[in-house]
Amino acid sequence: MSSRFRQAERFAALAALASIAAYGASPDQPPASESPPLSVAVTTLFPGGGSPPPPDPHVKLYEGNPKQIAEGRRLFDWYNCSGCHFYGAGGIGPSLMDPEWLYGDRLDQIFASIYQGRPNGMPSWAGKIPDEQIWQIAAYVKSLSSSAAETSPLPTKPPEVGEPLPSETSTVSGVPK
Amino acid sequence: MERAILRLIFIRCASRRTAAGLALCIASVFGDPSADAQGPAQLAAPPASAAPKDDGQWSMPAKNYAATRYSELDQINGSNVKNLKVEFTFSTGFTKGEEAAPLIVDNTMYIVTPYPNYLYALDLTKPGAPMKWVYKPRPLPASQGVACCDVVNRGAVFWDGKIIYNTLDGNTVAVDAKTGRQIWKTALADINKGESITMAPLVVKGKVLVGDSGGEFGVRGWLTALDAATGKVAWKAYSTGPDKDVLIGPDFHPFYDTDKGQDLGVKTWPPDAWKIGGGTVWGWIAYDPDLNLIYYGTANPGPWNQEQRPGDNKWTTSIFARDPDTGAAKWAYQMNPHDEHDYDGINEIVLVDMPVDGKMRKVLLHPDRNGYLYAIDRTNGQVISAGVYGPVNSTMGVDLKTGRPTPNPEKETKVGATVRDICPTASGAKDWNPSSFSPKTGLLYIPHENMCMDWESTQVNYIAGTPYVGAKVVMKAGPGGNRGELTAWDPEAAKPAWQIKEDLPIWSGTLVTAGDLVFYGTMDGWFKAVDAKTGGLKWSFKTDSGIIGQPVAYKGPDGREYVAVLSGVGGWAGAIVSGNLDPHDPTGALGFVGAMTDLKQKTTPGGTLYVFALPPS
Repeated sequence: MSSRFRQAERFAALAALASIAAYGASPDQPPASESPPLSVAVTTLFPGGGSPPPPDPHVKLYEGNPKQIAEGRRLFDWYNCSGCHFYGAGGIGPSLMDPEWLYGDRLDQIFASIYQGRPNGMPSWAGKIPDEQIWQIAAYVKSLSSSAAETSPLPTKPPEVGEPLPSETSTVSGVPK
Repeated sequence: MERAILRLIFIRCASRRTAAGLALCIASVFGDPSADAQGPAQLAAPPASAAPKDDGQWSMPAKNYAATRYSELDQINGSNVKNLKVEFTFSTGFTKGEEAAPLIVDNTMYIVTPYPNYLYALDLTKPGAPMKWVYKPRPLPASQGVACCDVVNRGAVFWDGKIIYNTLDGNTVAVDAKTGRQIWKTALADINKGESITMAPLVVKGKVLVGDSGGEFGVRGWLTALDAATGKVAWKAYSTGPDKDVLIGPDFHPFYDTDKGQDLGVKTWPPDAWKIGGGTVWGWIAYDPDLNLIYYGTANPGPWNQEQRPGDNKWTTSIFARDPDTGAAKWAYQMNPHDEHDYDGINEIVLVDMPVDGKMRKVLLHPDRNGYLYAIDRTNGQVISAGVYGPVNSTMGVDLKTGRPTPNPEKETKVGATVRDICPTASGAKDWNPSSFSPKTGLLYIPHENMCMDWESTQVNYIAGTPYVGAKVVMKAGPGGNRGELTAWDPEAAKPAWQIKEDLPIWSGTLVTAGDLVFYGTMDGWFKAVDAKTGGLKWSFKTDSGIIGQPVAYKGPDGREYVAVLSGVGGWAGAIVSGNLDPHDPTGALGFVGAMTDLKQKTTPGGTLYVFALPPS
């Protein structure tokens, strides 16, 4: 019976999610900008010369911040991001732990990818996830690629039944160190 | 040979943890001992109405309505197959998994690619089979974000001058087979609900049968019938919900008591959970013209976290028999009530008639994801036998009185605990890739997996258009360390005749021919021919990329026998390569990454058609 109650709770949570419209402010949030940092370029090619715009001021507040990353990790599951990207490997969506970034590896570029969506299957979360939480998720996503560099070499054969998994000390729990 | 088989089964069973489990395992392997003592008086064979005489073409993915994937061509045989050579190749231009069966009709070959689902027509009357035309349906690019397991397509069907197939974004299209012009297009699925379509349709009595994908996205499963001439929907049968939606009426007579009752598609779920409960229809359909019944299986319940959906969750993981004219259900049988391991029921159904206890029965054979090979009376849904064809410890045999598998409490999945070494995996003892059946040997050739998994359930939110899974899974090699197997199954004895071990999971279909050869591909790119009677390797050829397609045989305009297969790794098992996934996180691709960390060293992506023949005599 308890499962049924949990189920009811789930639906209630989802109804709340569906109704998210206003972006709730929190004490940790920096002053709200006029608009999300969507002027960020996703290319490194600037005709006639030029350079990418400077990073959005949010970047320094979130990038590498353990508290924000931990919250981003929780939200990454809550909004089902892990259903497509898992804990970095990718699956339905691309890997987030390898060094390849289709739309840029800057935190404001990652924010823009989550906010706007991308054409080949990434949904647009604008208006569905509050901006602050998108920053937190972006911080977690960014952390995945840096933690991957520390992981041990891969086994040449997969483990068999009864064998421990090599990954259990690293990313299987999905919690970045 | 017999002794070797027994030893092999014993080794499987011996890997189980408990003595009780071992005893049950052996009991389930050997089934009813009287069946063995009687001996096969007559080989199983498909009903003639569902497997007419071979015309040398290949106009539907399973070759015929009985779904035998058997070619009567016999020019290529065990003594000359060593001379088999590539006749021509064709690049599809894409790098995702190539799961489709080529079609061959009127000296033209038709190939459907993975997303973006191009349809190529190749002219077999000219040297090198040049392209006649290409049709581009332009599916929505965003549909790639709701395809759980690579952006595959399992092929097309020919009917009345048209090539008919489905696009990833949920449209069914009919294309003029001569010109490549679109005749009709019907939108059936909504990607913003998480629906997509990957299955190959079947046409029965002028109706195109199509089902949805999206069991990992909280969709509601259905099968629909379209008028093949116009694309207009004739009927739609949901897999969950009230009887009126499931097209269950007065003609519905399931065999087992737990499948009887009103509105079970609602009552076996928590309130409203059936609306997002899966039971999609992304696999295969067979048809018996004598009984006028179609047969197909429904997929897993959603989410994978079973604690969020107490109840039997009907009609997920079930086989339906329906009237193709109206869609009305005649019977249903649920293989995995309240599935806890993602054991979809969509695998192929092959129709054969065979003696059972001295009496001929109309049977369907179904190698389920759960590891049991079901022989079911297709007139009424009674399970005749359910022997194991791969490693199984998630259940302890199928109770033939109730039709239900006996759960193994040690392998029940739950929130907050990692359950180790569950066999088979979520992808099953076998997945979608279809078996073939030879009336010459009476054997079913099952391409499958030998894998197990660790599983931790997690609470998951339903957000339309996003995954609704709730499980962290890591797959691994099964007992013995090999991940793939080809099993030749004797349906009358309900046990294997022979088995071949493969290092990698077998994700291709099989083809069997009257030349007594079984063709299949491996995920590192080998295309192989083995002796249908013994399993001995007779020929192999290394293609550009891993093979997960469905081989076919046809008679060319020059009268020669040809064998064709698409190479191009991908699919759920090969997503690590086709999706360039990172092997450092073994939970990737719903846990398949963990078992395939070596695949990137063994193959690279890229779709190519290979067509083989013997040199002209």
